[in-house]
Amino acid sequence: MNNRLRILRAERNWSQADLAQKLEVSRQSVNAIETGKYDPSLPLAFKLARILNTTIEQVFTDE
Amino acid sequence: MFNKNLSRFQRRSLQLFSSSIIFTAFLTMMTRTWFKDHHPTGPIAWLLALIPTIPFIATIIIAMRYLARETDEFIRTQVLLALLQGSLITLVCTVIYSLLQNFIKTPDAPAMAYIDIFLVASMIALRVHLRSAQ
Repeated sequence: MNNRLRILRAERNWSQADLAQKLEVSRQSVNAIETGKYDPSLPLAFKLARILNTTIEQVFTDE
Repeated sequence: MFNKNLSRFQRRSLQLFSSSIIFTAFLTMMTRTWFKDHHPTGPIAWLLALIPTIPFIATIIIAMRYLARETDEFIRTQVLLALLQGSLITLVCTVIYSLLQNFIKTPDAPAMAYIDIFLVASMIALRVHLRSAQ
C-alpha cells in the first residue's frame, strides 16, 4: 500500500514529531508509515485522515 | 529503548524488563552455588529450583501488561516481533547445545541460561527494530 503522508505532512509544515504528537503515537510509527514499512490499522488510518483534514483515500492508495 | 523518545510507560516497562534480566541472572547463579555447596534434596531442592523462575515469570507478566496497555500499534508490533525473535534464538541455541551435549560431551550449561538468552536476544531484536524505524 502506498501513501502520500510525507507530502501531506510537508504541505502543513509539520515535522514527524508534530504529527506523532497529534496522533498520540511514536515518531518511529509515523516514519514507518511514511516509508511504507508499516501499514496502519483502520482506526489509526481514520485518525490520520481526520488530523490531516482529508479522506483515507487521499492518504493511502492501493497500488 | 535507551531512547529519549520513549514514553514514561515504555521507559518504566523497559526498566522493569531490564531489572528482571539482571535479577534472573543473579538468582540463577545463587541457586547453582547453593545446589553445589549444600546438595539439597526433596521439597527443598524443588523449592530452590523454583526460585530462579520467579523473575522470569515476572518478566513475562511485565511484557503481557505492556502489550495490553501499549497504545502505539507500531511499537506493539515491534515488541511482539522482538519477543518472537528472542524465542527463535533461544530455541536454536537449545537445539544446538543439546546436540553438542549428547554427542560431543560438552560441559553442562545452566538450564536457566536460556532465559537470559531469551531476554537479551529479545532486547537486542527490539533495539534493531526501533533503530531501523528511526
